[in-house]
Amino acid sequence: MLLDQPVFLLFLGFSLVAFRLTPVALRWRTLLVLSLLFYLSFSAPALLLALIAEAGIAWAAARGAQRAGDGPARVRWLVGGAAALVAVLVCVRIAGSPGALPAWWPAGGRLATSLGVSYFTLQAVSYVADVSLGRIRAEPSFGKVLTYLALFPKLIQGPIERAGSLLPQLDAPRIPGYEGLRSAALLFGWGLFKTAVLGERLARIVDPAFARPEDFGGLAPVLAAYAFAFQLYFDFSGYTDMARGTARVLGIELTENFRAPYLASSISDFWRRWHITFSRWLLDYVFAPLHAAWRRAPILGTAGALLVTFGLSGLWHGFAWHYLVWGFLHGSGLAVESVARRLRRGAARGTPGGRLAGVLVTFHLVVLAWVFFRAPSVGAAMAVLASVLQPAGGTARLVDAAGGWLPVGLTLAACGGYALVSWGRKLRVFDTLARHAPVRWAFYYGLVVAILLLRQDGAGFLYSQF
Amino acid sequence: LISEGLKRVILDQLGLDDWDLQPGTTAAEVPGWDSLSHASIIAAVEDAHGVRFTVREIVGMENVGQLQALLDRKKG
Repeated sequence: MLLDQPVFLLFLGFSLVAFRLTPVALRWRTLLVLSLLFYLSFSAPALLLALIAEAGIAWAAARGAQRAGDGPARVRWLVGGAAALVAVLVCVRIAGSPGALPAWWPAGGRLATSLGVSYFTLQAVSYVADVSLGRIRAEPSFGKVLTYLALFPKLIQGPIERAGSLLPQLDAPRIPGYEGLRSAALLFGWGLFKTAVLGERLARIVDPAFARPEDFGGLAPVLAAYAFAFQLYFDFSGYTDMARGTARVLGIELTENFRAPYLASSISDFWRRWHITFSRWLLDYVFAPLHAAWRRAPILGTAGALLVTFGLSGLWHGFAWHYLVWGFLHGSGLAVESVARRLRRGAARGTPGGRLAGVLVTFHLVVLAWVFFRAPSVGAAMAVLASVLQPAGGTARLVDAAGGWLPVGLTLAACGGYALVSWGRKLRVFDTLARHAPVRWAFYYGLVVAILLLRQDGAGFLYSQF
Repeated sequence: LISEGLKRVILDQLGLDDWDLQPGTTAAEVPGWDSLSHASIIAAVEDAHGVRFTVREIVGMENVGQLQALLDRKKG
């Protein structure tokens, strides 16, 4: 049961009733039961066991670290706990990658999916680390730690929440009033429009060019690469909006994960705007300790810490060379930026023209790296890039492969509509317009009609596979 | 309070002439003090005061007051 399926709305309605009938102080238990039922709906009970095992490890390691006081035992609890959690993740990911397993591997040791495990593992590690570093107190209740990891709106693909932000919200979650429910529904609907209409329609342009790069040349692969950049953004940020809207209905506020990432003026700026909860996790729990340990080698230490951090970021997406190359491309870009920053220290601030150039260069570097992310292998990514140099003329074929000019035109028009609405929101045009009920309801109905008429069924959320 | 010596080292590393560093000031509130510059600021503080911090101490610092307290403890 994914968030964009009609059955999920039934589940959400049922959840609201169950939530409403539970005393406020006990609602986290209702959330826990609902979250476990939600996870069971994917017919992978082994994953539920992995979730409970990780919650147990995190709960015990955090309590152990807290009891250990300030001594070296605290570090041992942190390292031991994190290693055990990562071991569970690696085992599940290996068992869930049928192509990576040898033929003799027993059927009982294979998993059809590893949905959600990468996400709750990162949260479990962050919980143990935050307690070990003295940022938060260990939670005495195992059930609450399990609820923190399992909370169903964010179980499948984040946001990657911190215990310090989520655990206190479990104490007394309340269903919001009309205004809260209205904003939650709008967030959910807007997210569904982004993922089911924009993301899925862009996929029609992306998929053929990446499946058969030899059939396309010239502008076509460039268009496909741009289309993928926006497909991934709409798909992933759309899911996050839906997750945040769902959680808001149940009185929980989740963290914002995207902030106009393609307007970033540098790679470091991009990572402050793209998958924010993941990049903060990497920064706090991988980069910061590595950088601190290697601080005596200012340039090499920084570059090394960035490369290792982003290499691991690539591998988190999958044990494959093309993800590693994607990670290293970002790590190298950040390393170059850090050296440039050292050389430029004290120089005058950039001009608006320089910022625009920074946005364009950053966007194209990010798109280039996305080619390695999207392609199934490094060789396939190189084939897509090489196809740019092939004779032009593939654009019409790509449009044909995407279903013709009408769907492609509709997709581009819908993307234009999205840009217009986003721009209007930034300029606060809607704050004024939304005061008029007819305008507001016309927008709501327009959004629903657009979703019903233009939605495409696809392969589900892209980031749920990681 | 934050000592003049510690304040000077931090501001020199950040290329700032002056900034009101209070015990509760966090890195995010000071221009240029981010995850990339943090390690070099700590290394400069260590060199200026002849002390060494552990990785856990560096990662666990949440504000300038904690850095000052740690420094005072190391210097006995």
